[in-house]
Amino acid sequence: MVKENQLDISHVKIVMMDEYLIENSDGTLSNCDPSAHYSCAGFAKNEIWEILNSGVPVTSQIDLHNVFHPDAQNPDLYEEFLKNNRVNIFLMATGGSDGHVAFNPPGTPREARTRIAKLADETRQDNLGTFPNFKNIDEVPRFGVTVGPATMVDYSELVIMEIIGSHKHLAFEHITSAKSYQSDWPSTIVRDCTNYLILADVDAAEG
Amino acid sequence: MSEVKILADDEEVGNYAARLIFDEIVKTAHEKKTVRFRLSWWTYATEYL
Repeated sequence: MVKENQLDISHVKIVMMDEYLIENSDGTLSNCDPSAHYSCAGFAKNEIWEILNSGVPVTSQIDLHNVFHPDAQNPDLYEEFLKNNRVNIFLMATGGSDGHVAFNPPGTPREARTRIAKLADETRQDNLGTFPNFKNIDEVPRFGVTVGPATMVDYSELVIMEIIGSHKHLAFEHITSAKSYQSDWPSTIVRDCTNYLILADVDAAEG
Repeated sequence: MSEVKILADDEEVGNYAARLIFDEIVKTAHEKKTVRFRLSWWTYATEYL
């Protein structure tokens, strides 16, 4: 559509909500290499930025500097960035087995914001399916830097939650039956957002 | 807007979301405002865009 309509998308900013962290030998954590097959920053560049810019004249393309992601070295800075910029459309997905959203595991407090989080075992197990190049669960990072539920609610103008596939049926049930945020199923945060649209396919809705 | 919408399959979901995003890009470009998207694991939407 962008290409067909010769649309100028140079004003668009792509803002990611999480990134995997690696554990350094001195015990500190840092963002994974963007070239890693599981990197969210790498995904943003290869699967979003390049695809959106494909076929668009250079002067109308999104600059790579307008692709953002949180940094383990300073999560608060990202929170401040989002506060000052806000997000027009927040595309959200949900974990099928534990309801994680971004890297927020079950038990995440409603008031949590951008921070380093320990990934739930179920989240890491789900990631084995998301990234087929992982050979086993031991290769899946144990930590991530992620925006929190409060970040999502406070700085988003429209939230679109997609729920696709029969393996997301449990998630569909949790989210549609919740009246507000349930910490044991973090993706219910969509219910606290002022302006949201839940898009599901028949398989997810009917199981 | 606070709505649950059931569509046929992943293709329809991706198309629907892509249309919303496209409209927002057009609207904000016209208004000369900055538009920002947080694009998560949403390959369908970006493929259709």
